[in-house]
Amino acid sequence: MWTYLKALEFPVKIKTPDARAAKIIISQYGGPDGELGASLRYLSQRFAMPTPEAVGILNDVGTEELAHLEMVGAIVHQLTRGLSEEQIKAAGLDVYFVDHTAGIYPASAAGDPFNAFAIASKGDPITDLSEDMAAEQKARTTYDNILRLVSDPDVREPIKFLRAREIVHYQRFGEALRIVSDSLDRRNVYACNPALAPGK
Amino acid sequence: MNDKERLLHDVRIAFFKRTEANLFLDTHPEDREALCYFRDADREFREAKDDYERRFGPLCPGGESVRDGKFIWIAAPWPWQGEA
Repeated sequence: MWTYLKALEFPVKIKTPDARAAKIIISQYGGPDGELGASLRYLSQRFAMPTPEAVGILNDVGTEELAHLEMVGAIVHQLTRGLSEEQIKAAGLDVYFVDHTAGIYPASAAGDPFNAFAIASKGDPITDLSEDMAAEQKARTTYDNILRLVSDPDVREPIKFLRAREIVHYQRFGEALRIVSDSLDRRNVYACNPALAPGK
Repeated sequence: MNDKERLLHDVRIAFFKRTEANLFLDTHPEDREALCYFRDADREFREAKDDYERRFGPLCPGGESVRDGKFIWIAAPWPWQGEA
């Protein structure tokens, strides 16, 4: 269960719309390493975690990712407010506009709709936590790429905040992976299928 | 920054401090320094939230949402609109 707090985790106040920036930033809403996938990945994986630390971190990071999904939605919404047809066409946002107008739709920058194949939930805690560490790095790389392409400080500041959170989450998942690894049977040196041999 | 923006800023800062301590404590559940930090941030958050809601309306759909026989939860701007 969740409750809603009527505030963004970090403020988003964009004065100048920018169709080109919106076109690339939508990828962190519904693209392969975006916040929708992040939240669904962790909130789905938590059910199969064996230690309270791992359950807790997946539950709580998954919850924070929902707040990040809202921030990215807010950025794209504000970047597309009041655009003219000419601005939309010039930036190449017309291919999005034709299907979604200025609505928020989970898709990658290249236009692929959100695909659950972007996430995994394997039921093996070592496998899943290893994926989560990679996922945080992939999202961090994507934010770095956005920062290479966008110059407006109103857009860069919230993106920099989101980028920094990926680094913190990576750290916490690394700790959870170590805690779960330490809880395994020491004879299982390759940490294979721990979910199938609990407590041995 | 006007009063409303300042109070919302306080809510956001305290909530973030609590979130950060929460994640750290998930993987360090007995860290005494982090436990103190979490308790302080949680108190700061609840105080800031109460201050804001008394003056400027509900941040959660709770008791402050009903005023003068009306459900005011939907009246105040939503956070993605960029007004506060």
